[in-house]
Amino acid sequence: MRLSAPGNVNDFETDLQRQQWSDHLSQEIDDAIADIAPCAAAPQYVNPAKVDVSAYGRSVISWPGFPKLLFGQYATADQAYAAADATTTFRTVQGQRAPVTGRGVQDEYLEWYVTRDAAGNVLTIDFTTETQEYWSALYSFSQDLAARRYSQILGTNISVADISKNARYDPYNDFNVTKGIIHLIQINNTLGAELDIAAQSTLPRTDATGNPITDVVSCSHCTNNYGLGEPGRNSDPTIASKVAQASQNGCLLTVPDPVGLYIVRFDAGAITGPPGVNVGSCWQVIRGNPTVRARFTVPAGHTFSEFSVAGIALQHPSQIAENIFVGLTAATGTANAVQRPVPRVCAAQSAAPALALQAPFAAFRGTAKNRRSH
Amino acid sequence: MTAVSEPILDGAEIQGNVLAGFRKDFQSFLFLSVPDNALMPFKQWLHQISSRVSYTDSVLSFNLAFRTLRAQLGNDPPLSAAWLNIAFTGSGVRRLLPTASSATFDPTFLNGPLMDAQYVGEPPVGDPSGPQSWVIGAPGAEPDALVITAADDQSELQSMNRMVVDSLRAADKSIRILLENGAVRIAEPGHEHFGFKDCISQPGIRGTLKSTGQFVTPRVLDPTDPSAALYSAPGVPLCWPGEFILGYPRKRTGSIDPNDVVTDQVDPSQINGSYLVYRRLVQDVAAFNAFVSTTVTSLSSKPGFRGLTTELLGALLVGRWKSGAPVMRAPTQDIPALGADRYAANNFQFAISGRAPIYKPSARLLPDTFPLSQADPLGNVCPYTAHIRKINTRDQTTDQGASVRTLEHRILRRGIPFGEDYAPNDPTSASKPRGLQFLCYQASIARGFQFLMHQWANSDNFPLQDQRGEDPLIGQDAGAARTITLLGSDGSRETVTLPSAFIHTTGAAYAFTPSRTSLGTIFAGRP
Repeated sequence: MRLSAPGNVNDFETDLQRQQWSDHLSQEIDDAIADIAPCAAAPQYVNPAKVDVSAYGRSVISWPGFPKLLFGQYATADQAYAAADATTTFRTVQGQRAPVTGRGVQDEYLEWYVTRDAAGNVLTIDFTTETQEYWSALYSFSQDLAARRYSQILGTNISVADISKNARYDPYNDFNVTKGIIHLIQINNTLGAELDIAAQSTLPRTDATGNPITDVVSCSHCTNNYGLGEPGRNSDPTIASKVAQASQNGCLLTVPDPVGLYIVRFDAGAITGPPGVNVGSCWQVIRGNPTVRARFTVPAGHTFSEFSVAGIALQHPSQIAENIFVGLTAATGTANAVQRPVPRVCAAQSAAPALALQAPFAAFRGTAKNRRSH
Repeated sequence: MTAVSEPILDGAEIQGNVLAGFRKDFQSFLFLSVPDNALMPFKQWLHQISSRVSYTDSVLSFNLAFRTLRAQLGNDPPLSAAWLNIAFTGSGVRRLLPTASSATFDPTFLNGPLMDAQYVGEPPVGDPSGPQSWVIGAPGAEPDALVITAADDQSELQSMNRMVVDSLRAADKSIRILLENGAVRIAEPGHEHFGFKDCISQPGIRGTLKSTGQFVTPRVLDPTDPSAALYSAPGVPLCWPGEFILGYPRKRTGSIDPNDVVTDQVDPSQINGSYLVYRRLVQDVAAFNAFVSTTVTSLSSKPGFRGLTTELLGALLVGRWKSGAPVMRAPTQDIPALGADRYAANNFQFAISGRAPIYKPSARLLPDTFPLSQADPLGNVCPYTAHIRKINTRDQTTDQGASVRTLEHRILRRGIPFGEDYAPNDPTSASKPRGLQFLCYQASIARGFQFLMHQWANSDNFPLQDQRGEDPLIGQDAGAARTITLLGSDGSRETVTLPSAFIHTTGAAYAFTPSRTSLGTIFAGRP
């Protein structure tokens, strides 16, 4: 089947573009499967472009969107919230520029942009789970189309030059960092990373004493000694473990169409609004079905601090992210579809390189850069 | 993994119900409201009563002696003791302590249970069944302090209560006292009113006592057992004391190293203290039984649910048979002897298969020869919604990530039933109040009780985002009906609708249990 754009968004204008995206994504999935093939004669992970998974059961794996690592890095929750909302700054590592603060620490596959009034009051918070891979692909198919979709989403006129640098797509352009948000830029928030963790987690593992385990996020890849993801996040261990658990019965498994990361739930019930304000009405899905972009709006005449969680007034936009659940869908076939390989001992991972930067679209395939760094 | 250095706990300072648990058959809860004009006499009373308060050293050594003798004698030994603890609500802390000191307390605690009632799923404040109906802690009627008394028999308890009441009256007659009682059910000691054995699984506590050097939680696993470094007993993970007591190390939030710890900086008045959540929970036994009965009738005709009995459905709702035997080890029928073995009853995980533990010879425990649990990552054996699986996720990865993260969300439960047993043949019985005086201790109410209720028990999307349902016992959705989805043996899924609640909150308080030093000085107005 032809794979859809994430969230089934209708950005493409030609069949060729649709096919290009499907082919591209299909190749990405094939790469993830190829990376487990040396460890499994019959890989359990399948490519939904090539295998009919319509009869597979569906489960949504989800996690809170606030970067939990920050709670361990700061002495107080307030400091952690502030760090997540900090201005995004960049540094260059191994010749590549990458965000290191603000968006650079929003690493649960959810990033956001805050619009404030002149006095600094929060007006809106835009959340996205759209990936850089998708937007790089869109740009490569048609630069003009990418610029027009930027313009439509942000409601302002944005040119190709605005989103380009040195004649290539610039993921860190102003309209995706300082003037708005279109897609994820945190270096580990990639679709490739999601697919990599999911595929690698189908391999059975044991602890050192031979007991089967499903907390596999710290286990090494099939073909290298790097761990599957960052164990201190909400997302990586959740994906890894849920996939490991689901695949124990020998079923075939995949992330079905539309392959992507989604905003699966906003926990409006956790938040109390000012009198007369329905918190659910402050939440608006902007793009995607499933949702890839949504907005929290502070109603006119009210302030952000009039909202509270469990009786405590909100001070930081990132506290909304704490009540957003991000996730993906896993599709599982019938049990015992394949002979599982002999379990591998979950070897301790070796130290990761300093920073694994996301390559631009033209070179984004391959496990080394898809791996979540630490 | 970080090397472990066992923390040393000051058992002479930490009140006895927190870490040791009173474990008494009779307990009372005296909620005190202190008018402004009585504050000074009340502080004097606090100073006076502080010498009667029971601390961990005494309670733990009594519990140990009692258990040892009972094992030797085969029945309860002729030992008795009466205990007393005292704690203060946010209102009490604000009124008794200088502002500079009271402001340093946890904001969730200071706000009290009315402020997060909606968050933990209670009906709205304006709802007739919501907080305004509470007999403890209703709006405008929040108490200032809670005295907990406990004894082995009713007369001892009454003597203790009389001493408390008389001394309070002598201090100032305007101090209001609301009395709540709890008592172990005579017909089924250790079982709550739905009939299930309660308080089986508690976290182990890392650390040794300053006074004796003994472990706070006895370790029964032999060092050769693969779990010995992280568990005090099978299925009982060792938690750092800072999860429950302020001023001690706790696991660093988000860390997947169980021994990566951090000690929160707190005001000295809070060191050796703990936050207490009190909930007066009324159990509707008739409604629970009726639901189980009608659901069995409707489901048992379906191929995937043939052979379903009321006993089995009840066990699937709780995760344990009434005997305490876990469904994970007894999937189709009860094994009462398993339920009676306090260690075997906890020896299981959810994601991976169980194994027989290696006990220390000195523990003098019989080998665990009961059937072992099989890996059940998808909830085919023990439903995702089962109460014990919602609240204590064991080795499952959760929405918080790796399973080790759940160590951040453990609480020490100290509940005791109240009210007469339900008598199905007595038409007046159903309407009589009965339930559980629920208490739990933690260092952070937000990380403990509040998190467990909001994020897990009340979520129909936990542990998977597939709407398997809320916790059928304690889950609540602001008074709305709930659903759970059960998996049949043939892979079929059946979703059944539950009433809005079998358990209703009819009273609540958040209280701080101070140390001996704080109680006798800053709370008593003698800094």
